[in-house]
Amino acid sequence: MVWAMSGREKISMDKATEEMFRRARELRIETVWDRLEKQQPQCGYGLLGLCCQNCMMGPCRINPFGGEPKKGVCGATADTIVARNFLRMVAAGAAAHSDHGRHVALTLLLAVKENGGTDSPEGRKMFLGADGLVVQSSPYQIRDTKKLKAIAQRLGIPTEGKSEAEIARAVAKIALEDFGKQDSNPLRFLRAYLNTKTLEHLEKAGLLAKVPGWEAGVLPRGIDREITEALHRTHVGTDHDPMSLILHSIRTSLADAWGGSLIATELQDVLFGTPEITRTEANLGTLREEYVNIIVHGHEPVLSEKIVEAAGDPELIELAEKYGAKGINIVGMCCTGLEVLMRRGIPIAGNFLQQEAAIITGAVEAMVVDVQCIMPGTVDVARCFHTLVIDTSPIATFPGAIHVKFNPEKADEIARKIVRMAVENFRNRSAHRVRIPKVKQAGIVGFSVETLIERFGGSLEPLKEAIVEGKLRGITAMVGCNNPKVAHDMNHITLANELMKRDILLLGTGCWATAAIKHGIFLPEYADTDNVGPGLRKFVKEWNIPPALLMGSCVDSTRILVTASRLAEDFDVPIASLPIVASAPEPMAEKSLSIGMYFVSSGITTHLGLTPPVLGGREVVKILTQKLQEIVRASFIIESDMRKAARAITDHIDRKRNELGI
Amino acid sequence: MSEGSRLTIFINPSRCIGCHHCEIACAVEHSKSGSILSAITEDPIPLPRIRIISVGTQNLPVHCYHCEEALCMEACLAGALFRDRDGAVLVDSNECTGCMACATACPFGIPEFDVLRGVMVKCDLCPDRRAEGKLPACVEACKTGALQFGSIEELLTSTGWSRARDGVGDERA
Repeated sequence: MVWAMSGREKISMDKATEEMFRRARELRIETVWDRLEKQQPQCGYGLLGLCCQNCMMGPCRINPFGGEPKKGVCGATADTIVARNFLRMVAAGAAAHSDHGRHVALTLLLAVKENGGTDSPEGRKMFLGADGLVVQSSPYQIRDTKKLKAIAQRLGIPTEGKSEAEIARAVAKIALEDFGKQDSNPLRFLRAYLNTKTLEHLEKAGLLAKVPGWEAGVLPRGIDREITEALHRTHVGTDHDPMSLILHSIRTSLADAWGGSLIATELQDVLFGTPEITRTEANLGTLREEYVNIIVHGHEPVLSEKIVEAAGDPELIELAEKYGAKGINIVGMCCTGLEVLMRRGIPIAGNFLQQEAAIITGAVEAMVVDVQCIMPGTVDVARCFHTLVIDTSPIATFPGAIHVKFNPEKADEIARKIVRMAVENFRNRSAHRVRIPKVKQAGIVGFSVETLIERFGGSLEPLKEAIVEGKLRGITAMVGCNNPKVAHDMNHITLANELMKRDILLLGTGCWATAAIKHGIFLPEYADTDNVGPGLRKFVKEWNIPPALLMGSCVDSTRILVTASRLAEDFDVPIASLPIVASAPEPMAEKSLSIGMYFVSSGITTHLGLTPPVLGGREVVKILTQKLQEIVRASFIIESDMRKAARAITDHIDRKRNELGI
Repeated sequence: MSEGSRLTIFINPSRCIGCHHCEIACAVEHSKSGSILSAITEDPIPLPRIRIISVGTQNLPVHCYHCEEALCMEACLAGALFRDRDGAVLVDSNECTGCMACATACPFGIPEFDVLRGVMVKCDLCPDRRAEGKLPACVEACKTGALQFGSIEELLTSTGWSRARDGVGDERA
């Protein structure tokens, strides 16, 4: 039945968020929790995935109680409708991640363009001084040559005797080909990064499914192709078989995992640097009262990195001081926040459900937003304060916001303009309305695959040994969103603690990671609490790491996949044989279904803490939670009670350990 | 009036999935145009006479029960409330002054004030549809069987709530 939250129940386990929620009530400002309450009762057809509006013979819905109507106008059954809706959600999530990856690949090309990044005659003129010498380079440069060469070697690109620019162009070319190529071969990045035995298994997964048309397998051929085909299959009168539709969800999510998201992560490391271990802070207490506060929010670092740079401009700092501020303070939010946290140690103010709360502090001069997971409601909240919401992406426009559309070719200029707007806005602040919660927590962050390997002495062997000897029971990937249908961060922290108690190492990304750093889980001393089991405690003390490792933003869930793939190589097994489980304790976005599906497709059973809209299709539920075990050797666990979820995850890990004979 | 001829809407809350279709259909039925595509642009906007409320995890459609002893009729200062042949309690909006004494009297708080028209509105069991032998709009819109329409005797028999009349209800539907 429909979930409903009484106004008297806790909306968050985070003190800062609770404080700001009370403040919002005082000021009569509507927040996400108020809007959720107004949506009650939410439509049962939608909750079950039983409504279809894919064509103009509809909308159609199926009676979940079994009476009429049992079919849509075209004759589609409940399972067909549920499977089609699910595939469209996975495709939307893959589209979001992959567009991010495309953006980074194009930016890498820009970084190495010979004429400084512009092809127009006027642009060329700008880059030439009187003596004909280049006076300004591209706004972007390659920051990690070593990483670039490592990627090139994986892709089979010769690097000896080649310039950095030549190698980068070749890598970017292959990346962009993976988006648009039309042949039937699997993605180049997938073939380069996925370990051999997993690849071999996926090649025959189509046969295991026993569905006509899938004999050639489930490996993605082109990132954009699979997303487009998802729309085609779900067009009225095309694919109606639930298993066939779920198989295409597998293919589409793999195009995201080992395509769009992986390209984003890997090429971002080339452009902005591979993360190294650093100490930083999180929560609304990272806003500073006497400073110009700028929040970078959304998902892509291509602009947010430039905002951070611009904030260090002496001219702008001087201007801030002129307006009475002590300086400029940049903090992050959501995955844009995690990107600059991983690479530059920039504090993160919060995760998805804290974006309105941050504005309600009254201390934010500007919230600079790019794409994904930015609620349009932030503009409404900002109207109650002096905060400027500045939208920057050409594909994400917010009514009521200030539009400063970003162009990578003019990145520095635009970033400085934005920072200047924020600085000038400081004088509009009402000091008496500032309420920054004195809540923040430190954490050790910055675990890329490379950092992990370096930390373990050059390979993942110590991790393997710890798993074999039982010091570590296994690993869980913790990913995903916030959802106001559960108390904010509660599922994240409860499940994390239950798993760490059972000696399970956590690797985390996204809004889970932000929740965990706020809770102190990324401090090495957290291993001394009762929430960490003796084996895990021993392991992390031996290697001087926190009991959970922050690996980055949503697209950086691929760092966890790459780690799993390398570990699988060490064990000489497919990923599916490893004692690794994934979880999205508070899933919200379509991206979380693509991530969940791509973990499952890669052989990692995945827990979801809220039910996706699939329960109306019994056959679909059976496929997702059971039959996929026969095809990709992983499936979904849907469980909203975190203690039961921890037991289910642990049971699964123990079964894998038994199968490995350890 | 004889008991057998009184018509009513039976509510089975366990069948309600909170889709609000009954509300939409009711508003459309009480619009000028009778079509949802244009009803949403009417001025004044048509109002539904049925609401779904959430009680914990349960959904409950709430509307006028057309009580045998209708306290609203007794309370009406303008004499605008009357009962039709099927037992439905109706409001003559020409007579209604919008004083809302009926709302105070109603133990369920059903009558609503239409601020744009200045009168009370509540369920009328869709008299035009009844005259054509159709179901009330909300019942027709309900696809899961949470709302059923008929005479009290028919409903008690078909839903299996035979002990409801004695004040002891158990679901057998």
